[in-house]
Amino acid sequence: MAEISVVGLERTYPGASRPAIKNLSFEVARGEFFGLLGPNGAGKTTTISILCGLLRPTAGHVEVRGERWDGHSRTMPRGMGLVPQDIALYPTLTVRENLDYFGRMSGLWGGDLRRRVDRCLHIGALESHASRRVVQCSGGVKRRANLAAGLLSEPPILVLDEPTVGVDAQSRNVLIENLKAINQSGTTIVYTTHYMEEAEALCTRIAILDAGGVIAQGEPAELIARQKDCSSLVQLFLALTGKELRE
Amino acid sequence: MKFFASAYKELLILVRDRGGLAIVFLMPLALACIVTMIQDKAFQSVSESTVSLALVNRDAGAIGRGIAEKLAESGDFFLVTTHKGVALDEGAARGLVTRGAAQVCVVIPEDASAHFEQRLRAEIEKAFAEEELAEDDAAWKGDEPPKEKGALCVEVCFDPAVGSLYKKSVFHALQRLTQGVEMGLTVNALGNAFRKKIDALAAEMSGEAPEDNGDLVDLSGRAWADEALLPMREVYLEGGREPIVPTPVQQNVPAWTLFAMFLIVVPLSSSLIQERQQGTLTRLRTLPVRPFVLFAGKQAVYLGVCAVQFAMMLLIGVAVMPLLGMSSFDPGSHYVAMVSVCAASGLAATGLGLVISVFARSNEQAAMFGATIVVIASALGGIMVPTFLMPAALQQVSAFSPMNWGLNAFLGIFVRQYGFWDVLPDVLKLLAFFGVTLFVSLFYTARRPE
Repeated sequence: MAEISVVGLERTYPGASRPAIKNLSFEVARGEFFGLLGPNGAGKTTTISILCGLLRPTAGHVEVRGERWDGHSRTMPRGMGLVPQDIALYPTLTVRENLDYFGRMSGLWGGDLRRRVDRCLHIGALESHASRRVVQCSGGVKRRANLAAGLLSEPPILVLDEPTVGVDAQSRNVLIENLKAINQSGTTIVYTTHYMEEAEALCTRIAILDAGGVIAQGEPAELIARQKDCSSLVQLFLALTGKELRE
Repeated sequence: MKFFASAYKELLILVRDRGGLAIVFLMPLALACIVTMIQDKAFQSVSESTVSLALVNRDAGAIGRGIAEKLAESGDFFLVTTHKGVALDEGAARGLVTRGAAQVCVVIPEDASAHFEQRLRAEIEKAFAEEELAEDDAAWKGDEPPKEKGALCVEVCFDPAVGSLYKKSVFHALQRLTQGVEMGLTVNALGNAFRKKIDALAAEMSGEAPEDNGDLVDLSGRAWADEALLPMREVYLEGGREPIVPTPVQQNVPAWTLFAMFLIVVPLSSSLIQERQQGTLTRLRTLPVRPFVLFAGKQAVYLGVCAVQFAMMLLIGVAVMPLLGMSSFDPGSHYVAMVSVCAASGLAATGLGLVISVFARSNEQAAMFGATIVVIASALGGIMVPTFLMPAALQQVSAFSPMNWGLNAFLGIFVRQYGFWDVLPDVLKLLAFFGVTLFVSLFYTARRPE
């Protein structure tokens, strides 16, 4: 049984002339590292927002661990941890205070909370930065703290929206290694990125979105092999989505 | 060139921020119009504003009749002489003032005319006798004018919430009006006395009895500046333990405390907008955390801020103002009422902050809109100028201002010595406002497109 099923998903924003996504369908199996790729405006963030229950679909539905989420559902999908593209942390609180707060809001208390916060600080290599205010941290530390906050509730599904944007090679390496470890521990990961080499190295399966629909999905190696004159995911991506600017 | 490029860029940004433009241009316009309308009316003389005056005339004679007629003719006052179809008695009139339904109550005592005439006659006799004394060097044997000034006087009682400056001007206007009536009667009586004296002298000289030709002259319409034979005295409403003597400190401390409490809409709305912009609200929604929980957490803290503000303002009134040469603030003893109004006002302020935060698109919009709306609400609420001095249309609007409800309740407690049950209607209105604003915020948050 798929961990996530996206069936005929469509979303049109108020006032928009065309839907941001339409007739979008894919599945993500349990324990998979699934890459959602696409040029700017392809509909990746809209898809993620619907998966996490932040947006309602105009048509179609999503099933997350058997729970259905459509335009009429009363409860949001559960079991999702979101690491948004923005640094969604309180800048004037310290890294630990932020993790404490989001942990409590996830329903953690006492010893459990302390253990989880310490573990997440360790995963993000944040121990030495725990007492620093987020505003005083470097971009890389902020990104790692942003990831750590998404891991606090130990969600069975982790959704990451471009988590390595704007960080140096060292921080990106730490993040990627951490994500691999998290995935190996059984967490299903849905990952969006514009870095094709990252997706190629991390993702067990990918879906390439363009103009609000899926234009290709499968294992990266299989998709590359299927496309003529392609030897990398970057080449495949450009071959499928074109080289002209989108926005 | 760089200057022009910079200016052009700024202009483009400004023109494209329609919400910001509306706030920058429309809010100050609204502020200027409303505050000017309010203050324009307030700065007019007493004769141009309409004060509700509860009149109790217990005198059947010329004094009572004269004062009542002058009050009615003056147009300075909205005269209230009946309540629920029954002629006002002193208790009912004071009740109107206590509730703020009338700003001033005037009680003309029973036998005021007889008392006045007795004093006037004695004064005239004394004046004539002194004149004769000068001529005859003989002792005057007539009655001394009554000395007990103030024993019988026209009593004026003000709503304790009325400011001292305004009260003084109303009191002086009333004094002038009463003295006008007194002077008219005095001149008339003097004329008659002179006539009788002349007739008596003429009869004495010719041996004929004087003929009664009525009043020699009628000068009752003339206003004379003289000491009142029937003085006017301010009396205070009876509070729980002692008469309520209003002071500017007693009136201003609660008013500006309320203003300060409502100013929390600015930091509260800004903090929510920041959370929305940072993405922390998005993260919290995925946990999932219900907006109500987030709002409640914020409101609890800002309610605490309001409570601290309230305590600090009272403390300044009690401890600091006397050091600056002002009277000390008396917080009274209606603690339950005080806490209820403080809590309800704080909740109303946090509710307003929430509504602003869900509709504003940026921090700047929220800050400017929040600050301006608080100033407008405070002006409409009667914090800058009492509501009874506002134009009638604004008085209607003021009746729907949460600041007006809060101010009424606070003034009730601190200057009228109201208890919990007296301020409950205003507390309920504030709580209803909080409920509506919370509902609107939650509803809009749930449906807001991300």
